[in-house]
Amino acid sequence: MIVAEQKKLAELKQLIGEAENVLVVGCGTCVTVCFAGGAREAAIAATSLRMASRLDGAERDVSDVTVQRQCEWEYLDQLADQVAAADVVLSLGCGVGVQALVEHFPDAWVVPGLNTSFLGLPTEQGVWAERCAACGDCILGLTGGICPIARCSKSLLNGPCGGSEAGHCEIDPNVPCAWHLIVDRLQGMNKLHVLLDLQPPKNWRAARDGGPRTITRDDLRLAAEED
Amino acid sequence: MTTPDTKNGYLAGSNLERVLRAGHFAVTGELGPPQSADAAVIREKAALLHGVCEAVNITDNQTAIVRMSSIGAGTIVLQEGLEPVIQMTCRDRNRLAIQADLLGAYALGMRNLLCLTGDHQTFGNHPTSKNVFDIDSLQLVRLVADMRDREVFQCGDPFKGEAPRFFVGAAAAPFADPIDFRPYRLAKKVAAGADFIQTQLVYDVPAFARYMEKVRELGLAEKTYILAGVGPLKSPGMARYMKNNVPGILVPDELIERMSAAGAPWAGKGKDELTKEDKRARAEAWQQEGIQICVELIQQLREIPGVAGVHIMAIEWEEAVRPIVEGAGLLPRPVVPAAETAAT
Amino acid sequence: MKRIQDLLAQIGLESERVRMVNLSSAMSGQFAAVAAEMTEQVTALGPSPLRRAEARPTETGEGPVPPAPDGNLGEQP
Repeated sequence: MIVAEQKKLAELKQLIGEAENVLVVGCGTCVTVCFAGGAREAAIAATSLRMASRLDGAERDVSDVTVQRQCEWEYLDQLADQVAAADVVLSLGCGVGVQALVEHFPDAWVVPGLNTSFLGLPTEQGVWAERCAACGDCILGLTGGICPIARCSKSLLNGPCGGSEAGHCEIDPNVPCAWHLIVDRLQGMNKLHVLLDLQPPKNWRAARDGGPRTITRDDLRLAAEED
Repeated sequence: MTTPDTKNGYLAGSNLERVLRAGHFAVTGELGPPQSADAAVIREKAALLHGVCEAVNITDNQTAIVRMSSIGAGTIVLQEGLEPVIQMTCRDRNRLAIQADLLGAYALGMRNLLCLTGDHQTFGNHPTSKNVFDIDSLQLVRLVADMRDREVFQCGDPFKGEAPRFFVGAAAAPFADPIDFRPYRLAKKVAAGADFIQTQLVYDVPAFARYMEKVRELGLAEKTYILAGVGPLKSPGMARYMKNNVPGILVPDELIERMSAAGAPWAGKGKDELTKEDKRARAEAWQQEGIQICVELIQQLREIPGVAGVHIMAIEWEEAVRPIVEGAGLLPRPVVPAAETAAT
Repeated sequence: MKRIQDLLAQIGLESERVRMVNLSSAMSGQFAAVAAEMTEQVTALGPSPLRRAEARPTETGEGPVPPAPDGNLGEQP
């Protein structure tokens, strides 16, 4: 899932600026699960902003609403009236949610309430860790299902580098060395030979480096069917 | 080793390659460029290393701190009559920049290249920068070998003119984790095309001997020249720091004790009791012991089959290299003229 | 609890206004002591700044009229 963190209140206040009517929009999917932008967080953010604005002597009307998925336009339709009435929409969705709101409501001024961090999972309650870099050319089949692109600090394809120590990465004792994990796993499964081939330079074009990405499936497109 | 296919019988014909091919025990040094544009610093350090080693590594933004570029400093080193080993990391350049810089380095006369991954930028003085890691060090080895042996760019296109011919090096960290995989990683580097290897600092000779045994078992010692990394300890504190804080460096307690013993005459005194003279004398005693230990390490490493030379890392203490090389009985350095073995 | 205290501070309220104490039903003495201590602390902090803010003029000049320096809303003689 997409893992995000809420911005500090001071930054939210700055983003809202002088607006008198603020609509906080939560999202019921990924950011609900990571406790950053669900219904509860949206309500708390709205309350906090109301209280803070009153203390600042510039009281604002801050309301909140949460949709099931901010990244799909059909879920946004129900917000049309509220968005139209707001001076600023504070999205507690991920970066996709913010942009979905902008694209669906071109006249609205939408600002982000979260910092979208990574694609990952909770490793324990209260801890989330990155697992995928969405590089567009999955190599998990070569590495025993542990991703060095997302989890090696240097995204090495022929690791481990010399900075691996006692199972952790040189950058931080709390960051496991992905290549140590890979070697251990393949060794345990008698598949270490998989790592002995030289992996050629990666095709980064499939990643963000190739420019913004789009996937088109003609078998699913309604427009294509009409042709 | 790749079969030389040039007219003169060498892959690159660098001094380092000639000395190694002639079967001499090779010595390389290291020179850290300044955090400034001061050419004089390079010239001074080059003078200290002149005549005591075949070639000197010029570090590439080592520990991710911005310094004069390796190729820039290497050009000055060449002017001073010393042969550089250009270090190149994958941290700061993509494959376009790497290849462009390699063409420039070759045109400027550089013939040795050490391919490195590079320390992560979080360690350096620009921790908020973006890293590159478009390719890794093994892919870089292959890229440079292909430039020489297949005369192509990484993309497969041929050169429009002269191809750069480097003597290609890679690093090895024999004691870094996961330790069992290290000989295999070396095997990959050799398969990728590494002509020579420089290792991380070795202080634990028996542990290194065990590593070399595995390396020989894999048949790597015949395929590449392995230069064991050594460096003089400056103080017991430095020894302890490396033991505890630097990944992949084993410092036996016995060596730390030897360093401490060297400072024993001053050990009883508290910090305030030590005069400036005391401190200087103690530092000197430590340094003497550090150099002596380094000499002994070289002598022991030389006995290990498959060790083709040593790489002496004495950054910011270049003065120590001459006494070390001299103490190890490795002076004068051999001279192998380019023409002498041209027929091989 | 720390998160709420942090949030209160970010909003501009004293984080001491909220506290969580775990007590069993057998600890009546401690309960009374904590309640008294909390009351004392909150009394010392005074009325919530939010209440005070209700009577404060907004920056744009709209809202309640500010008390005159010598008006009735000042200190009683």
